[in-house]
Amino acid sequence: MEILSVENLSFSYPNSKKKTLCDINLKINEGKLTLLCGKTGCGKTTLLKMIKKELAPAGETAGTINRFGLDLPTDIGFVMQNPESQIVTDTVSHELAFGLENIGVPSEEIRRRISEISSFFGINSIFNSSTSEISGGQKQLLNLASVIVCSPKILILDEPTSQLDPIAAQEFISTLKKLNTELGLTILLTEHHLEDIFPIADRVILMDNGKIITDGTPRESAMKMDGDSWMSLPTATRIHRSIGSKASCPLSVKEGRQFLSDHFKNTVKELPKAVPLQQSEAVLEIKDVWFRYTKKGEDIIKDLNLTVYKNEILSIVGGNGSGKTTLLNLAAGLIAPYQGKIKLNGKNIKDYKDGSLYKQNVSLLPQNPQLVFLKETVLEDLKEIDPNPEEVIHSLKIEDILQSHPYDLSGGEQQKAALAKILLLSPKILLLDEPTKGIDSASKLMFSEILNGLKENGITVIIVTHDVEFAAEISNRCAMLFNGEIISVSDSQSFFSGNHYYTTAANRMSSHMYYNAVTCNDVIKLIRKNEEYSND
Amino acid sequence: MNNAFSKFHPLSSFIYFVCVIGFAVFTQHPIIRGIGLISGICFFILLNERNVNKELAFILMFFFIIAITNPLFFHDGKTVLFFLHGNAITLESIIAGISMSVMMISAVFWLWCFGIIFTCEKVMYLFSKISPKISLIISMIMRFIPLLKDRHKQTQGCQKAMGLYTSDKLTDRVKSAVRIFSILVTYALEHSLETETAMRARGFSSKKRTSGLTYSFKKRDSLLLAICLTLSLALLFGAVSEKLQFYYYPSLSINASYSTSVMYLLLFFILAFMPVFIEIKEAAMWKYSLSKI
Amino acid sequence: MTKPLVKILLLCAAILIFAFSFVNAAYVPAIIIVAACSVALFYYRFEHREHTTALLILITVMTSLSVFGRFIFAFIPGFKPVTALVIITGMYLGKEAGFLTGSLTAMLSNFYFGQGLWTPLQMLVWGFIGFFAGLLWIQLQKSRIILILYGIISGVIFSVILDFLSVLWIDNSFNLKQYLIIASSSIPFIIIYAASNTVFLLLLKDPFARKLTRIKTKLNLQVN
Repeated sequence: MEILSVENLSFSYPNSKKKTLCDINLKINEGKLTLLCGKTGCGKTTLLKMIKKELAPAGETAGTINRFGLDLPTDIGFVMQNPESQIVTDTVSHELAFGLENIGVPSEEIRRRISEISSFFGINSIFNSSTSEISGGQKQLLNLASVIVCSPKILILDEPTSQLDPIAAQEFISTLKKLNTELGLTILLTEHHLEDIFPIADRVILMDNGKIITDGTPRESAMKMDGDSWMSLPTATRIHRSIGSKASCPLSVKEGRQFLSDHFKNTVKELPKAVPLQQSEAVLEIKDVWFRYTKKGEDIIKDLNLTVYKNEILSIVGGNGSGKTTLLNLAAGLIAPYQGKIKLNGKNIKDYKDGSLYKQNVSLLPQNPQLVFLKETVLEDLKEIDPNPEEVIHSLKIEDILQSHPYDLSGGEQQKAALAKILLLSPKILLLDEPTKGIDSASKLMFSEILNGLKENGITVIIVTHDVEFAAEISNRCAMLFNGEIISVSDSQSFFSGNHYYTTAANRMSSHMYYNAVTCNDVIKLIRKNEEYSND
Repeated sequence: MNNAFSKFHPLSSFIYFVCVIGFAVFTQHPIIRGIGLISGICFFILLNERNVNKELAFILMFFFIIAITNPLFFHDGKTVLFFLHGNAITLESIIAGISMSVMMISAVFWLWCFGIIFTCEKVMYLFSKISPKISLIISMIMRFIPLLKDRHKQTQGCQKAMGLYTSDKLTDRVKSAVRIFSILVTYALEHSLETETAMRARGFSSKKRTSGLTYSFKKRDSLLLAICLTLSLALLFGAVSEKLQFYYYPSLSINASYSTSVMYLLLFFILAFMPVFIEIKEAAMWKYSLSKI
Repeated sequence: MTKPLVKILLLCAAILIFAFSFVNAAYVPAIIIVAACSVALFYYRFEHREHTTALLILITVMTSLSVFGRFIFAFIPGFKPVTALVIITGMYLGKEAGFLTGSLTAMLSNFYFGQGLWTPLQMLVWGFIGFFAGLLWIQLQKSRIILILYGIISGVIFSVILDFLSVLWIDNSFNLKQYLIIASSSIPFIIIYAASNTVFLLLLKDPFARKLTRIKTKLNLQVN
């Protein structure tokens, strides 16, 4: 049964000639999970906001939206991207009650409904916590729960997992699946990275330039997605598309494994080993370092040893709470170890006085690029560091965002603008904390090109990340941090092919046939090699 | 929070605090002030929530100064003890000084107890009875302040790592604090844009709203309220009829007969020590029920 | 006017009359109770008026900033942007927002620094500092001199009232000698407050004006 229909909807923002939405026709059926994708700025967020009456932006509108039986403001649930800014109140229980208070539900019933929902979501253990002390993943689950508690008839989510780490994102998506299958809730969502959500969607709609380009089952849509949207597809699907296979398109790692075994040979089992980087001079040496935040606290970093060589890109991967950010802050000299030494170019970083550590030496790009900005336009911010920022502006291609307010930019643009400001300090070592968080696939690709460019210019890059796919693509070496210790460190190919669980989707999909295929390209190369081999 | 008194309904405990602090602080009678101080200290010790050694030393010193300076400035009173630089130091003004500082310290202790019992949640509950909207604003602020704290710490680190204003000179520290405050303001305002959207998305409008905060009003709450109000009314009657009046100058004197005074003091003693009785009784019952396991 | 409002008003009046005519010179508790009732009255009025979500959230933000502002500048004793922020809120977000930001800041910062007997009075005075800034917004926005003057008065007023009440409290009547003793001890603080208000107002007014204007356009909020 139809719950929502959009007919010939067009929309443009005030003072803008471009139509943000152009003749959209869409019908949403009850109980379906619909995925809306498209690159940043394609109009998907605007479309979602138009559907949710209360959020409809002001502007020129044509066409109609019919909402069937969606009269109360809480009948359409809406969850947005940033877990932090959607939380309104101070404690978890208040937060759950907030929506019900808005529609005037009596106190006793509020009590009953929030305890019920907290059991359904399995958040009883944090029920009495304050909202500032729970993790990012829990925050987003709480946002979802506090929308669901008002029993919406349709749930709309705008990139709900983009700010979460991969484990939390998976948990969030499996909760969505549970809501859809167990409660029959209608769901409409947008996402940048489709690896996990694609296989469970009933229907995938692709938007570009305010128009709907394709609309069909995931398998149908996957075959039609090109360019930027192609990059965000699940690994298995991308491999299938790249080699132009005519077989049915795999969507998940499981289907991908089947697809590989069914259609390809593995006479050639591995790619030639990567040539180890010439171990040039060490620029950063971390020796026997121990760190804890408080005297009686636990050790966050335990007897850690790590050497970083000039001109390499080193990724440090590891789960939540493994001490990644702490390690980065140690390397940036923001905190000091209570035992052990950190040497930069052979000199202990304690001996760099009065900020000389940060002048043409080490720079840190924080997880949240917004922290870097102070002024009202990007250009003013850049000029704060260097009155002539033209060179960096040119090399990062950010000419068109210079006059914008830093907070008005998209995630990817903010990232680039922040990097520009950091690069003006002309660092020799660049420390990056979760640089791929919240940016879309196209920006990710552009970002890795920039990093490679920096490497060629003699800058050493250290990245701390959850994003194993990105680490595998970009780094010369990878290190695994667990429980405050470096467990293993090696070149990224052998690093990921040595892991069984903590590795890329391409590796998990191909490990039963190929030994060291870590990225999509690796798998494709091996498939091609095997084809050549059997053709010979 | 493991004390018995905080389990009472916010309304009855609030009224209780208002009554006790009102009498302990606004009556002149030194014995009432003394009872107020001792009961406040006992209650505070039983609550066992805050370590106040540092503050305590400071406060004691401060009030000691009040107690001894009073006779230096005020020379009224009949009983002259001795002369200092030609000024009379009287017994009455010494007593008045001590009595004043006793009252101030008791106010400090009772307000500490109040602070421990009255968590933000309870304050919000009380406010929700006057205005659910204000109660929500308080809750939003209590959500926002930790966020600002986090953000402040991160910004400090980030700006430091950019090498801007990092020396220990005071000018640099001030400049850096102003810069960081400015970033926080921008962040806070921009953040509010999204929160506003989220609120509207969840059906917020400024029309009539309810409050999910509930505390059940039990029998013991009405009992506390009844005892507290009865005692307070009696004491108020005493105050209105000037039976609680105490004069320090020209000589220490009271307005009522000895037995009436004792009666009123007893009433205040019961009122002020009620939380102490309750804590002790609960602790004993807890021990007893544990012994049965 | 709604019925409960009348009730609260009557209650206030009753307490006042009771306090002044029967209880022997219990000025101070009467003043505190009256202050608490006035704040409650104001909040009650606020509850029954329609506001945009945007205004509520900006009140939240400004209050949080002024409570937290104390911590940021804690390394210079007595130097805090609190009053300046309350004044700016009144100037740019209107008198109601000014009152709420002022009074809530007073109450909530006492959560961190300890509640006092004066809390209701402090709420009322700070509330009025914001309220009048909202009334005088045109003058304050236009003239720097008036702004500085307003900042100085706001820095002084609470201390003066508090000293006055302390005398009433201790002596149950107004005693000039006692007042001078107490007032002289608070003069250094008054100077710091007035100075810090001036500095922060000059420092923060223009950036805040820009930032708030930007946000007000985005939130589609009209004040004054």
